[in-house]
Amino acid sequence: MAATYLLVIIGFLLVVFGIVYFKSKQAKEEPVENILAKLSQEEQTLYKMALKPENVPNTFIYALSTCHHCKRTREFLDSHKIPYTLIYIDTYPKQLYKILLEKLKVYNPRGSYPTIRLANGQIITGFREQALREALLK
Amino acid sequence: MSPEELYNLLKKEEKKGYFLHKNYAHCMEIIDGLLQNLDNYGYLNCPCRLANNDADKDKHTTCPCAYRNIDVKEFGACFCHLFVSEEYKDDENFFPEIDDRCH
Repeated sequence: MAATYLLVIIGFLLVVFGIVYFKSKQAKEEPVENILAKLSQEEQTLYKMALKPENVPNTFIYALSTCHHCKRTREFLDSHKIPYTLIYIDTYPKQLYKILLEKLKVYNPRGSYPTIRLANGQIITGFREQALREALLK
Repeated sequence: MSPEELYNLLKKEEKKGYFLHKNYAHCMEIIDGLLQNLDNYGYLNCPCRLANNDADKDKHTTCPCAYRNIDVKEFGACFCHLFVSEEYKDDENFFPEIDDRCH
């Protein structure tokens, strides 16, 4: 009998601790809108474009600021005067880059960089000069 | 740590058969990215991969990454082209296309 009471009390405590933990975790996470509002206008615009690249009239690139494949992609596009829009995911706060990463993975499940979405919807991952030439310099 | 110090540290990998890319400017670019990640996260996350800001979670992408050996064996270079095999150690323009296998 005592053991049953003890189990009930332990179970109750576990549920209470679980609720408190969940609530405190929720309280710590700032709403995305608030985080976004703290960024510059340009960063906000880029973030929104990255979530809907299909609305961008030219090539859209998901990149990392430290990635040399991304740099070479930029150099290639610049040298051929091909317009593009680029977002450096790693420069955004973690909560936002997680959302950006989810979006990127829709196009490239590997989540590798750069992930390039051409205006016609074609996806090119990594710096692939030949693929870029064929797709953009025809 | 200065870029040169990290370069010299990574150069020791040559003893294991993993050579730094012949293109010094390229190496320094990668090393700058590594040092930036060291500064931001506290460990040398591969500059071509997004860090989780968690050393344990990113152990596999911390340079030299868990995929270097297999990529060097298969393609002659690691994903970010910092390390190459002995066969390509004198080729300044060796930048093969490699799919990131870490995801």
